[in-house]
Amino acid sequence: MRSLLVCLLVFCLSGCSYLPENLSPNPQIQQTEDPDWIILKPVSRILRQTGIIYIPGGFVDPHAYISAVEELVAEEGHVVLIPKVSANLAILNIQKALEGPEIAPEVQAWLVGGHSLGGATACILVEQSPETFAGLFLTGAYSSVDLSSWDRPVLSLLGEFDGVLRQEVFDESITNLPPGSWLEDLNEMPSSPTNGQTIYHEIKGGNHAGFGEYGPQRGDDEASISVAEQHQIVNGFMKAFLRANNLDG
Amino acid sequence: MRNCIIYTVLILLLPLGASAQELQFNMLSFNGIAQNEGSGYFYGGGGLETAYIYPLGEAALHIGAEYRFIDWGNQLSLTLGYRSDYWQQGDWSVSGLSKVQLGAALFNNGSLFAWGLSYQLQGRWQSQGRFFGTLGVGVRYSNAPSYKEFGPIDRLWELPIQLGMGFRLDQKGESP
Repeated sequence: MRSLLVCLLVFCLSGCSYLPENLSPNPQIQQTEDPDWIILKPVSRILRQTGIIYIPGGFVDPHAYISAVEELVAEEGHVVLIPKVSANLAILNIQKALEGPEIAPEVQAWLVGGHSLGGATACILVEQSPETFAGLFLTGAYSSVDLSSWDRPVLSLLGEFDGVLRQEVFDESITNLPPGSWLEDLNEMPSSPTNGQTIYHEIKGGNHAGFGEYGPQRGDDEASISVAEQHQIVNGFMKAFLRANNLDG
Repeated sequence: MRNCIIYTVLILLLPLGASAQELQFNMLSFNGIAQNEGSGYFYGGGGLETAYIYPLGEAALHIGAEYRFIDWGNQLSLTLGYRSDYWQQGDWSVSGLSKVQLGAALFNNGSLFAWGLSYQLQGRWQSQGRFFGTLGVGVRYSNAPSYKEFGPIDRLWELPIQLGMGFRLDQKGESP
């Protein structure tokens, strides 16, 4: 009985999520929400044919990723879907992202990815349903499943001062993704499709929490760039990645 | 004076020892039907509850702690309830449980107050010994008012399903 209560207490204490910061609404984004999804669509831009499913990190409120993808919605015209998952742990709702394409049937292709545990969950999803998604992106995340022979493009972004991601596990799991190359800066992004390849980039000065916007995270290192700067770099790579793979139409 | 206090406390505790108090453990599953942004089915999450039940004749007081997954993440609540026994035949009985939940939506940067109200119809099977099992269905309203600053959904209406088991702490009382 006592051990049960201790387990319950530990789970409750570790079950605290991070609340978002900076939730000022963007007038260029139409935001709708139900108990399963946050749906972001551009107000004035023509809708792109590729949508993005962004799976939140573990124990992070999903609203903390809205500012991170604002530019992709408001300026680029992509639909972005952020799944809301039980306990804010995407790993408990792996299949949910498969329902995303039904929400916006006007979108032709879907890029799936996520931050931290959300990225790892996206990898599991791709392993289970490799034909559903046109590409994969990871921010502060690694794949625990073998996707090395997946024939679609992968983008993996890391923060230089990521204190949460276990570097040795990241290094070991690189073989789980298609073979890749590290880019020093955005100019090195290939202009032709990167199917079956992984593009890596380490964001100078970035950290783990900077991929969302929820304040400092326990165990993370201090970033030397602002959250807005980190988002700008991420969005720059996302746009170039989509363009290189003809997913910006 | 000291003995007087001890005797008074013992006399006050006597009814507790003589009644069939119970401990109950519940698994909960919440099926959502509406929220403040619209209506329609959604799965509201699962939960666990442990409760102490103190009988009051044909009724009982219910004091518990509940941990559940909910739209705004994770929530820990103290539950206070009153159970009215409606029907009993042999080992089987049916009762209604009205509860209030007072708790917190759990967040690192400051947990938020959350509360709820529920009513549940509960069927119960009592073994010949201390053990009993319950199955309940009901309706619940939940609200985390301050979460409105972070997301539009802060009120939920759900149909919870409860599967429970428990045991009497003694065998002196009657079946409810």
